[in-house]
Amino acid sequence: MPTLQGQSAIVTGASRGIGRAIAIELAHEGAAVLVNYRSRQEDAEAVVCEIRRAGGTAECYAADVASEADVRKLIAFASNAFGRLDILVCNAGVVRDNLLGAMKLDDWDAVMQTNTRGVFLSIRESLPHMMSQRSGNIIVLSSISAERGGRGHANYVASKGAVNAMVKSLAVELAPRGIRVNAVAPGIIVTEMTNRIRNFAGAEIMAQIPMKRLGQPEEIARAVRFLASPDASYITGHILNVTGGFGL
Amino acid sequence: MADASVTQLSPDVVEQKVLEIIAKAMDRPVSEVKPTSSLEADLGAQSLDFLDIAFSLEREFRIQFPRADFLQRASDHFGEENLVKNGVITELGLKLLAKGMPEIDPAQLTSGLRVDRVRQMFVVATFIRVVNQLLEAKASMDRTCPKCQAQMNDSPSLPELVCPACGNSVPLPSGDDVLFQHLVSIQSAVAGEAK
Repeated sequence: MPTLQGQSAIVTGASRGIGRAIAIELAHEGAAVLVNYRSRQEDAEAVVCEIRRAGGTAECYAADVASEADVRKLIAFASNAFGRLDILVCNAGVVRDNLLGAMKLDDWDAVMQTNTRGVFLSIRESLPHMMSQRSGNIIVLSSISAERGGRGHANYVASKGAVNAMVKSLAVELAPRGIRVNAVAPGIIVTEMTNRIRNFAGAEIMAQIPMKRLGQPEEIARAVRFLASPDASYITGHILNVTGGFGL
Repeated sequence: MADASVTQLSPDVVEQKVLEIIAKAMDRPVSEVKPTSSLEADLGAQSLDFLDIAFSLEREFRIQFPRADFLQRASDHFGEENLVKNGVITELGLKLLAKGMPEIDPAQLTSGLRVDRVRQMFVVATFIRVVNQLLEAKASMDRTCPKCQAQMNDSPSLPELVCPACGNSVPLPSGDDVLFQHLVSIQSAVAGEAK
């Protein structure tokens, strides 16, 4: 029997890339999945179609995770559609890379709004459901860069560092209610988001990856599925690097 | 017309539902939960339990429970230094607590009371009183849709009124705002006594 049968999940930013792969993976494992997107409705609907074609359950819903009102509606929609909320995957994220000295305030704010504030809002609005159920799984998509830093994306790194700290705090705060909180920190994964860095520094990056290949979104999705599953029942407050050994 | 099913609950029904919700949150039989029960001392509540209870009350009664406690709200209004000095509640603070939280045993509100003791004074009746205040505030809302003038209903899942005709929504008053108004209303009484 699939390990997530009877559970419901929200995946933010799930119209493409890693989020899309996570939505499909969780649905494959039996969860009913709400595919959240901000603007790419067609892509989100395609994810829902793919899940349904495979016999799974999915809906999609437009919401900007940086908007308190949007997130409230998103969580309420999931609760109404599926009757419960077991898994929250905070995946929505943006990059606005630049050297700090040249970084516009808007670029700093945009990254912090989606990557950090969005995680805060998504988790906060999910808690009434998870706390009353006395169970829940929160998985945040971080980045290996939160640990390593990196030139040209101080805003992104700061946003993910904040998220890592939040995960550890919340793991302590929510353990008494049976809610586990973990993060997955991907290395360089083949997605649209990493196009630029792969184009500009592909060889340099590859030299730092002992496995000598980039990661696929599905490999991140499987790590998320593991953390959401009963196999990870004693794991909380953990940042799971999925990097091919990047930077070791 | 107001949503009778929610806004016109009798005090007995409200009390019973609050007792049931607190019992469930604390994993105790409802027979062990009385209006006079102290959340911390009698029921063993910790900070997360307070939040859990607030979430459950919000869902049951479709209200927005306050997130700040009484002294936090009063500090914003009166200035913290006027209510708490070196961790001890001032005379003004004690008077405000007596008026604002009448369910607290007055014998506990004595000089030298430390601020960290106040939370231990929260009793089940505190939650019953706050729920009643929030239900009254909701019942007194103008339910006419500002866009199309139809009568608005409680949202089934969000803290807002929703217009069945045009889909417009209006947020419920926040619990902090409602109780802040209560604080302002007792201010003159407290000031009068202080003279």
